[in-house]
Amino acid sequence: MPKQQYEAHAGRFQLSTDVWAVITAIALAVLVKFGVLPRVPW
Amino acid sequence: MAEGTLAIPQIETSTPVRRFVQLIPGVLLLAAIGYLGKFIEQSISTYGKAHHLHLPNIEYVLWAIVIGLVVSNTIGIPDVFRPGVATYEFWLKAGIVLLGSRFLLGDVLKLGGISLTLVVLELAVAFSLMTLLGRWFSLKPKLTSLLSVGSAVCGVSAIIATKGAIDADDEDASYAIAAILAIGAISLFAFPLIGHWLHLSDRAYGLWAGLAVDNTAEATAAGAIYSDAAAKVAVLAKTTRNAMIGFVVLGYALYWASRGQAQNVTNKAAFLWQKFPKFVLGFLLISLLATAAVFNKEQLGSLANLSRWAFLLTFAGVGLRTNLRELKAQGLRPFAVGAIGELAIAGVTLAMVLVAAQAFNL
Repeated sequence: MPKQQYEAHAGRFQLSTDVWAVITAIALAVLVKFGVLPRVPW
Repeated sequence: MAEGTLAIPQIETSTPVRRFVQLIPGVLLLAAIGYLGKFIEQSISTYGKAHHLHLPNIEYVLWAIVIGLVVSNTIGIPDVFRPGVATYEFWLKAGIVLLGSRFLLGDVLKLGGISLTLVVLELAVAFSLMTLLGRWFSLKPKLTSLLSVGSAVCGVSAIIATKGAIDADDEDASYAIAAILAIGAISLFAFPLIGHWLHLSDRAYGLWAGLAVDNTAEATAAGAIYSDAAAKVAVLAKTTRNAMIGFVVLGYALYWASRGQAQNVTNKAAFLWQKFPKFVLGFLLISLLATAAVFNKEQLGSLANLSRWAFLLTFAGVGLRTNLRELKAQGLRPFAVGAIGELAIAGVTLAMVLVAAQAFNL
């Protein structure tokens, strides 16, 4: 992919990144809260 | 193509499912590099313990970044991986939201309050310094604006936001981004060394890294290389800085519009909301829920670990997207302004943090 296209792509993705990140994190928190996601090790 | 035929350009329409599938190879690459970094760290530690050797503890963060750097600057990143690798910012922000589980709201307000005060001071110092340096090095005024915003507030995000608001050239934005990223990469190695040399506490170091390192991913990494506790504080300080982005960009937009070199901002409130980093609200929400004891101890542990896994992918991305050849090709003058400015900002913020550490017993 040419460099500018790659950067434009990343920039476009970045516009909605915040919203998607919040939705994903909250979804994971809900799964953890209701026991759907088992204990997550590190 | 046969003679006499007409080539009709194919317009590719990408469905959401197709776009999602295109992310998978790159995300797997991030996970593989991140996990390899963790594996190397643990292997060295296990080997050292088994053989009673005192080996240096190099954090998985650094390994992930270095492996990514080596891959990016040797074999390069094939196109099939690029969309997925670009998601590293998503993982960073998801990680930050989940990190809210490790903060009681009271801590957020206290550390956030100290950070906010220092951020305002840091903004004033950074803008003044960068503007002065830009003039000395005869950089184009809009390029200087971009470098100022990038070093004062929020690295790449601030530069991109400001570029759009002040109608700056793509070239200027590339110069500014390249300079800020190059210096950020150096900070990853320099900051922890300086922190250890000065015996900074985790909180003081975290505050310094969050105030002085420009890119959120790199500020998080710089904190994590020092310690887990430092990473928490670095993220909080950096998040406070990020929250200022709307006001700063609006300020520049109004300035350049008044000179007839950018479009007027008609709805300032809408502009501020559009520029405000929404993930900060997610972080505060999770922190609020944690403070209200919505999650039990084990669940908080799981959320904290999910945050760590998200950051693991981020750090791999930080290394992978640092292309030293491309940075070098951008030219030395913007880099020189950025480097001198960053050095000065790092020095001033360190002094501020040392004073704050004494005053607030950090």
